[in-house]
Amino acid sequence: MSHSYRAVGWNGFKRRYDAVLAAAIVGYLTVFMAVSFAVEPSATEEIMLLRGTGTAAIVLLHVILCIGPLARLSPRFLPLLYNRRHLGVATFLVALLHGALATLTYHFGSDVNVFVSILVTDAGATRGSFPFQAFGFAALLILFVMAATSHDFWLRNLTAPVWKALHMSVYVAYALLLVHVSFGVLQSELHPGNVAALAVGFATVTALHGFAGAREVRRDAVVPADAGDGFVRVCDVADIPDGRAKIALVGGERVAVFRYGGLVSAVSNACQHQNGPLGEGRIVDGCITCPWHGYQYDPASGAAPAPFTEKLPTFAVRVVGGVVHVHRTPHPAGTRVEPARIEPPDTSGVEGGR
Amino acid sequence: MSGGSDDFFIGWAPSAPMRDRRFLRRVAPLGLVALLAIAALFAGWQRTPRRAWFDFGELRSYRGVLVADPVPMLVLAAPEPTSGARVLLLCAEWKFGFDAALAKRLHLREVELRGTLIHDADGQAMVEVAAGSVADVGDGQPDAERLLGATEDLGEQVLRGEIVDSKCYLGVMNPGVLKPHRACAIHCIRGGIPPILLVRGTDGSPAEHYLLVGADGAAIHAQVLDLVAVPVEIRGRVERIGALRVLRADPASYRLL
Ligand code: HEM
Ligand code: FES
Repeated sequence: MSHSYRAVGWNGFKRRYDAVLAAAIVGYLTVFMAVSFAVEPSATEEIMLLRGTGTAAIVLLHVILCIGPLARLSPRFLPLLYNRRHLGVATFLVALLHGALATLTYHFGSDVNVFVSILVTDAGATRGSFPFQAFGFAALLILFVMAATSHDFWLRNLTAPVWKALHMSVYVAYALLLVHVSFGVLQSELHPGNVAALAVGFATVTALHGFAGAREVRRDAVVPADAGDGFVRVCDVADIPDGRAKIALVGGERVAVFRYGGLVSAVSNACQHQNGPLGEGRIVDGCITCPWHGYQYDPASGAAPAPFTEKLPTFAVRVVGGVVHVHRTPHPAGTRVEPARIEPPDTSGVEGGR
Repeated sequence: MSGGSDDFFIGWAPSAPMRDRRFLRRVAPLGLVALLAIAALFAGWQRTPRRAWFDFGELRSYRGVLVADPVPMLVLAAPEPTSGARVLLLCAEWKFGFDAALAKRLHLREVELRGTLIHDADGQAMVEVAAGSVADVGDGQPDAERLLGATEDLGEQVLRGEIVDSKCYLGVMNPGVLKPHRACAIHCIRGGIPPILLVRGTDGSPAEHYLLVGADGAAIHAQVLDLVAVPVEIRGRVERIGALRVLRADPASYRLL
């Protein structure tokens, strides 16, 4: 039997994650409503709920945007990343409720079509009437497409690069929402805390991406020295802890060089699932295991164990005098490459290669 | 736990490593508390909701004299018990004003109607009239001036404020002002709901409201749409008709601030 795709399945951890997430959303809305009506008991329920759901959605979006870089900075955040898909779908649903309530409250009930109302009526010609709802609407569409295609079925059918590009549009949605909020509610609710919260949120997202990005840039800046015969020098074997990897930029591509037992193998660093950084993973049960959702690959062939069918490009490796060399040119995905043997330091190198 | 990597989280593994579980048990409650605190702060920072109500679901009967000008209203013999108002502005359901032709036809007639009360803490009130519920019950021609009180000329004034629609502002949407509510107010005013100028009090003094009409005293709607929910300055003649304040000015002379 061969699986055409492999879904990140249900398990106890995910159920607990979802339960906590649901409780968090319900708790947020409950507190928001309770405090709103404590401040002004005659406030309109729909408007308080649409404000509650709007703010909840944008808070969740900040969490989503921060988890990625946090998981790169510390593996302790990996469990949060593992089920990020559900966080995304939940955010979309909360935002959908917000958009639906706003549409019903502010746009429904006139003789103008609600979509015309959102896109045209809200866009004024005078100073102080710059549109804001069209931006929310566009962001909601993006969140919808992302939520609808988030299942691994779509990942497989759209192909990973298309899917990945699609899901990068979360940053577009975030930018649209900054406009939605700045030109919307911030023009009426003038408590400085609101502006401060948005600024702190933006600064946090930007800073975390900056730190995580800078780390990668620093790592990629190390140009491995040429070692002859198309090989480059990556690192000393001793620099790689057993069962782990070193990531290096080889021939313009990130390569994960794993050491396990007395062997060394090199594969492309990008997980076939969602581009997770395989080199930050481990060898578990003899397989390279992705830190993000646990996809596994045989280190020598780059192939996922049957019945799964994902395959990684592999690279020729050799260990020369305790130094790992990797060949610049990748082999086609799934090509078996003899692992390099780590020899006692006094012998000169023994080649891996084909 | 599968083979030999005790500190590595794998989602599908039967249990998470001890280190991760400890971390999650510490971080999850902190995250939840932070989330609830954020909810409380955002809710507590709201400043635009005011004391105003829409008694949705409570259909009541009102009997009084219908007056069509400058905007449709019902003048009661005794104050309405909930709001204390003696003059009830009238509007229709959703984002529409009271039928102007019907108002003209029933001008100064005694009528009975059913509707939902909209009212605020300043004692202003409006009724969202249930469709088809207006019945002409009068025979005489009541004296509107006696009912409403004499019109008092308060002279020419220059007022700064925000144009809002009376229905939402008086309680249907609370808050029903400024940018978030702009599109809605435009629909309401275009739909025939009377626009009012809201002049916010400075330093805690109460806000004042002026029914906006044309220089000739006629109702205006479409002419003000571009200036809804933005700061404006209006120079015009203020009249007091009973408890209502009316601002007469040509909408073309309104100034965006
Ligand atoms: C069809 C789509 C949308 C419409 C029509 C819409 C409409 C609105 C309106 C009218 C407001 C002002 C509400 C008020 O203060 O009374 C608002 C505020 C807001 N919206 Fe949206 N929105 C949409 C989508 C979104 C999405 C996708 C998000 C975030 C994920 C979002 C986040 C917010 C936030 C954070 C606020 C400020 C807090 C609040 O007042 O609710 N909106 N939106
Ligand atoms: S990215 Fe999902 S398992 Fe690697």
